[in-house]
Parts: sequence; C-alpha cells; structure tokens
Amino acid sequence: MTIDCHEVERLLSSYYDGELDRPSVATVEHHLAVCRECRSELRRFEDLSSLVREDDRQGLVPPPQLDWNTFARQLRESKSYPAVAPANRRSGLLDPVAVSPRWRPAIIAASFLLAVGLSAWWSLSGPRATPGETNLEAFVRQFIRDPETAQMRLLAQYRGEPIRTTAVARHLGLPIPTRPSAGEPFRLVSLHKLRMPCCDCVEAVCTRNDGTKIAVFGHNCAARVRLGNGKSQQVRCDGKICQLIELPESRFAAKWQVGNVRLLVVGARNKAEIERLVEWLRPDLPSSHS
Amino acid sequence: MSAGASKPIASNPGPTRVDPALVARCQSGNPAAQQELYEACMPRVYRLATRLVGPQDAADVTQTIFLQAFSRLDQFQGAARFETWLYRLAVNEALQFLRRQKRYRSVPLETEPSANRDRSCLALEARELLDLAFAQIDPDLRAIFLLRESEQMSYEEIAQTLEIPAGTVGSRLNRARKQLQSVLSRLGWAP
Ligand SMILES: [Zn+2]
Repeated sequence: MTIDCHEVERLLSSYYDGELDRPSVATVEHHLAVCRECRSELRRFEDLSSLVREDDRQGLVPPPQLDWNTFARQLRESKSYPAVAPANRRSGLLDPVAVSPRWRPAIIAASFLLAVGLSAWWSLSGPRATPGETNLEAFVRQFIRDPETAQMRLLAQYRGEPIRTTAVARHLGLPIPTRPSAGEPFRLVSLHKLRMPCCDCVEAVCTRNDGTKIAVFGHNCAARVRLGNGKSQQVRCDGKICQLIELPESRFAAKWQVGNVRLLVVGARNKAEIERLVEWLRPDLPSSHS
Repeated sequence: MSAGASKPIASNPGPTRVDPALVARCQSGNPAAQQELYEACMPRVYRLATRLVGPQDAADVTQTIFLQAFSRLDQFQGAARFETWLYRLAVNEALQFLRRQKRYRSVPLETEPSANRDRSCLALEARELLDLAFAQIDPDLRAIFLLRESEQMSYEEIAQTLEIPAGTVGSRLNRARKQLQSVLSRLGWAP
C-alpha cells in the first residue's frame, strides 16, 4: 500500500515515537525511502529531540526552597488546613460562599468586629498565637500577580480555617441591617480565620465586578503588619483616616480602623476604590451582638 | 531511587518508576517514606515546571504541586502508575498557574519581537533556545511535547496524564513539533 506525504506527515510522530503498528511502519518506511521531504521532516524531529536531550544533560539544580526540610515544614503547616487540597479543583478555596449578596458586606464587617468579641468561640479551635509582628510582604507581592496561589500559601502559612458565614450570622442574630445591594462594588468569595503571629485575624477575599480580587484583613491587635517598602501616606476616605501604601504594579494597600478592629485592604487599584471599600465595609451592626 | 534534593537532575534516565510500596508507606503517614518519595520525584517535576511556567515561578509551582500531592495522596488508587497521577496534578497546576497569570499579567509572556530574532543564535544555549521557543507555543502543546520528549512517556501514559483520548496524542505531538520547529527556525536555530 502506498500513501502520500500528507498521510505520512499525519503518522510521523507516531512512527517516530515507536507507537505505530507494524503494517503502518512498513508503509511509512516505504514512503520515506523515496521521499526526501518527509525524510527531512523526520530529521527535524530528531534534531528537536537532541536539543531537549542536550538541555536535559546540562542538569538543573532545584533551589533550596525545594529542599525536603523546607517543604516538610510547609506541609506540616498546611496539614491543619484541609482546603489546601480540595478534592475537586473546581470547588477550590475561592469559591463563593453561599450567602445572599445583600448580607455580604455586613457579614464581612461584622465578622471583623466579632473578632474582638468572640475569643471564646475561637479558642475552641486552638490557643491564640503569641503577639508579634506579621509579615505580609511576600503575600502582597504574589497576591497582585496571582491571587489564588498567594491565597493558598497564606492559608497554609497561617493555618487558615474557613469561617462559615452562617456561624457568623448566627452569632450576630439575623436579620442583619444592611445597605441595599444595588451597585454593590465587591462580592465576598471566601472568609477565613488566620492564626497570624500578631493575633488571630479574619481575612476575606472579594472580587470586583470584573472578577479580579482584593483581600481584606481584620485584626484586633495593634501589632505592626509589614507590607513592604512602598511609599505610604495618610488620606481621608469616606470620612476615615486611612493609611495608603503603594504596592508594586500600581496597586495599593490601605489600613484603617473601625472600633477596635484594624482593617487592611490589599490590591486596591486607586484611592477611589479604597473609598468604596471603606464605605462598603462600614459596619451596620446591631448595638449588641451577644 | 533516592536522589538528593540539591543534586542536579540526572541526564534523562528515563521515566521515574516509583515503587508502589513506597507510595503505600507514604499513604500510611511514614515520614521517611514521604521524604524518599519527594526526593525521588521533585527534581523531575521541578524541571517540568521550569519548562512549563518558566524559571522564575517554577519553584513556587513545584511546591504547590507537592503540597497538593501529599494532601491528596489518599485519593491515589494505585490503578494507574503513581507518576501518571503526579504528573497529571503537576501539568494541571502549571497550566492553571499560566491561565491565572495570563489574566493578571500586564506584560505578555511571549518574548517581544526584537533584534534577538535577527541575531545569530549560535551563541544561545539549548536552554535559552528552548525557553524562548516554549514561551511561544500553546502551553498544552508544551506539556504534551515534554511528557514525550523529556519524561519519555508512552502515548497511553500521556493520554492518561492529560486526560485526552489516546488516539489524539500523535496528532497533538505533530502539531507541537511543527510549531516548535517553526519558532526555533525563526529564532535562527540551525542544527
Ligand atoms: Zn513524503
């Protein structure tokens, strides 16, 4: 049986990789014997293989970050956080939590404030970390480029545990007074408790309408949180004094205080957006939440 | 097989064959077995990650891959080879990383058309050439090409790893090789 160049081309990888059945091998070889074009195509496959082999031969030294001891530490830290390995990627960490949109801003704000009052609730899941400085520099840098990976590492590092919004809501006692949801600029996608060196902290990941993400942290301690060496300035946002910190890639972080809770936003695009966030996260809380 | 984490990756020793008994010991939580498994597989996964996502992010991606692998180890059934399972996870993670990065990156991954293209490429090392070429072909094609050429997987193993029909492996490899050739010759590659 004879075949043309087109047909040989179709079979060439299989032939080259030794994955072709015997009769087809004979047919291809019969054609190769008489066709220079196809022979040189085959030679180009070989050249490509030698290029890869040459690169393989040069060796590649994995960086110290990948040493077993370093990795094992990461692994231990991630153990207490089950969502590091969601059984199904599609139900990953940044999944929307099932809560009606109109509750979301209030729930975020409320949960930050509850961080102050719910230490008994939290202590069920472990002792508080000793106070210290929290360094978020690496998180901030990565979050701007790749929020999912940054988030996963953050949760692994600080033993993040998802906080169920329903639990937060129950503690608040529904209904939560909230602003109308029309024109809501952000959507809550995840809510976690993190055991930071400074204190236990609540972190929310929210998406903008275009799907990009920002992270909001709520602390109830006065310890410093390091964000890098970006320039910082005091601004007024929605009547609040905010500290605005410049991040790489023209992004911003901002810190402000609501009651005893220090709020921190990472990944904002500009001052206007921070203003919207401050407004969005202004708590509409009942006077008592016991 | 137990290679030290800091040793260079050996010159193409063929596909890693992980002893199923080792995987079983890991699944029962034996730390020494976990280290052995990690050190046996990490260098190759790191190399694959380097070629799939580029050298800057390869270590982070590799770490993520193994964090996932170890926390999902109980889901490995033993029906397939462990490498197929691990590489599926690795390729998925790398491709997902690239997709996410594409969404958030302000600069495109491709090298910009520059004077480099006209410059003689004789000076370029195999690695630089491949880095440049890989960056310009579809990541899925990059993955299939590397599983075949560098990991020396059979078509059946490739199909399982990438979860694609076995009958399409050959034609995808044809496409990968063609695209690489044309990118490389544009880069001035003349073997
Ligand atoms: Zn021909």
